[in-house]
Amino acid sequence: MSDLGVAIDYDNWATEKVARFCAALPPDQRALTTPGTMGTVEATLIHLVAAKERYATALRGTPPPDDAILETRTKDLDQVVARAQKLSEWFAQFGKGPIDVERVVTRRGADGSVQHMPTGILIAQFLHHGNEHRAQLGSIFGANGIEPPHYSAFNWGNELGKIS
Amino acid sequence: MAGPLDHVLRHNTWANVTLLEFCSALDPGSLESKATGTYGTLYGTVQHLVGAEQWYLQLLTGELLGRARIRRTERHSLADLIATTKATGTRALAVASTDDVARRIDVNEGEGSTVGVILAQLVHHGNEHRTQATTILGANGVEPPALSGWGYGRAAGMSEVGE
Repeated sequence: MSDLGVAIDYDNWATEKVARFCAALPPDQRALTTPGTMGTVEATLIHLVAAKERYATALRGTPPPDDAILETRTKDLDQVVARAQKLSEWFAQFGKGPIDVERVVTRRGADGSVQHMPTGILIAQFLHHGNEHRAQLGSIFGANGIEPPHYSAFNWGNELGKIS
Repeated sequence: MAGPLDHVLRHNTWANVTLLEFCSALDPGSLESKATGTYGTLYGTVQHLVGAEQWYLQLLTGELLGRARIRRTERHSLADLIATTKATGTRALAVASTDDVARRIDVNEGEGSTVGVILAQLVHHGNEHRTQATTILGANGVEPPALSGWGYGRAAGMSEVGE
């Protein structure tokens, strides 16, 4: 596996871990937020996974599935957890490569905008975006006295026995 | 031809430099801004970010890169932090293109990791603390710089708006 495949596997693990954590919260805690972040816990998680759907769609070059997560319609966090797991399966296969990071892909944004870019740029954004919104969730939890899940790559390595 | 992690690491360095240059243009008092739920002050956050990357590269290469060791107890100039992140970013690209992703690395006494996990940690850690920095800026009424992969693509002239 390439170093990129490792980073993608880590993103899958961290996103699923955070999604399960958020889905297990009571409704009042899902509605928490803190200044400087995107919004509530629920909105942030849905956006995180909805964007991952769009990155997968752009990399596959095929339309999103009927049960794709969308900011405009998804409300059920258990559905978000289930789709995060499905997306992990797809990204894990994708991460095994080979990945041509210079292949130009087309990405459609949530606002309908279209961009063309090398695959490597889209992957940089995908990894940035997941980390960014997980960090925002961590800030929301910390600001509201909730111990956040431990989701660093070192935690992942420990959990998988990559660090002995 | 770019290696698999090439754009991801280039984005990381570009975003670090963009954030540090943005911080350099702020009044010094703003560097002491905080927001609840984040790591600490804005300056403490960016210093920690760069110091950690310096440590990750030392783990990977055995070398201390940059002008000086970044210590939490010492105040380093933002210019020093920019120089260090550029040095670690360049070396990270070299490591990713030549090293064995499964090579075992000693982290602390009795603990080990791999090249791949440390590079994943570097990417995670950079994005996490840059996000905390932008959270601090936003919470204090300052519009933060754009640090996304899209921004990197535009800055590198490799992302085009299409139809």
